[in-house]
Amino acid sequence: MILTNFLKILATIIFANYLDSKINFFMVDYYLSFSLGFLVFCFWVFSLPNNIYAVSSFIIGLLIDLILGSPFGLNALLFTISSFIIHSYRYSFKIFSFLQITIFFAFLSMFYLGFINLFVNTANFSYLLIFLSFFLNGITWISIYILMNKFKTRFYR
Amino acid sequence: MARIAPGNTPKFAYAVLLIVASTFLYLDLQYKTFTATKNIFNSGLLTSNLIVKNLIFKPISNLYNLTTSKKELIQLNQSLADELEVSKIENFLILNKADLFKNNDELINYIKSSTIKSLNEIASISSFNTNLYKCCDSHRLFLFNNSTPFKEGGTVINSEGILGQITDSNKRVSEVILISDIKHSIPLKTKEFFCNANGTGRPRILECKYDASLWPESFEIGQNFFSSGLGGIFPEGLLIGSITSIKTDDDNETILEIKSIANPLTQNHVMVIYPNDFN
Repeated sequence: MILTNFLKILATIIFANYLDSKINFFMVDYYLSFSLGFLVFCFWVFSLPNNIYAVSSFIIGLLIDLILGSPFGLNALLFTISSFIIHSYRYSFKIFSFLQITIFFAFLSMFYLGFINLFVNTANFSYLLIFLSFFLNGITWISIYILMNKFKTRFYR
Repeated sequence: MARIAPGNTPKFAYAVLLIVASTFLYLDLQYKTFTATKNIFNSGLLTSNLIVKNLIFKPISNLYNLTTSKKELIQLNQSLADELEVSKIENFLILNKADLFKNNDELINYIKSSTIKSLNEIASISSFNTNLYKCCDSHRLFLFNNSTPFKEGGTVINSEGILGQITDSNKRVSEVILISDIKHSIPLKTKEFFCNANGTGRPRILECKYDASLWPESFEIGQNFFSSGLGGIFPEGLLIGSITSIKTDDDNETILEIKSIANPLTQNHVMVIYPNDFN
């Protein structure tokens, strides 16, 4: 993968994380939490499985850790694991329906949120938030898939 | 569910990086090894943010202001808003002077002979992750240093009351741990009852836990709690907050939830004071 493409991918993930922080400030009160940054990362791994492997996932995760101020290595670990899972299923996705793929990524983002909350929100860990976010992120995945596909065809070379 | 199809996923690289990431995470959580790296990154981010703001966005907004002839009014408005914030904090300081500085003469003598330039310093907030504040256990904010870095242990107040204390400083910014942070504890009192109120990780909420069989106290919702001064960091007798709920946990311990009166989201300026330095 060439550097400009990597930077484009990184920029979209950082932007999605920025949106995350702005929206989640209000959503947390209603036990909802978006994981836009993570879903955008998943989209890129899903749609460019030959370009984003372990090292790029790890580096993106580390940069997100630095930007968000979360424990160093947390996003790196989760991004690397997610990347591995998506790569493992890369051929199976071809026989999955779009609904199955949506459920897969909703589950993945639910686990991501669960792990993040285990580390940064131990005292107020909420199962309700994780459960409700499964549906929210499932719906979000559909819009991210459509929007990011448009972005990819226009800007990604 | 379909079976996992064989692919060319490089398992070795993934295994190595998973171990590396786990090691990073362990070192950061256990020994705070990467705190300096994070601080340097944050400082760089803040500096670049300021540069971009001053070099790109400010000239553009000034140009707009010039064309609309409102520049001076906007500047005046901004400076008045800043002045108002500062004077609100100073009012708080004046009103609570007796509690904040019980031994005022000694404190002033100490300050004259020490490196601290004054007994209080106004500081502006450089960054505050409000999302983390609302969602998570860690409640920290960062202040721009004035001429010298703030001293560790300095009490941070706004016009409403105590927000937290300085925990770390580098050349540019100082880190403040808020009283609602899960790792923070502040000794409180009400009449003859004393307790250590721990942060809960929820905005403005502190928690006092005690064994009701040892302390036969009765409390009511809305009862005020004050700082006891026992920890040696915060001054004694300042109103911290009032009880919002009283619960009993599984171990039969009573939990008092106290809502702090000081809200860190209301102002861009705070004051750092060193009330206990004369000891």
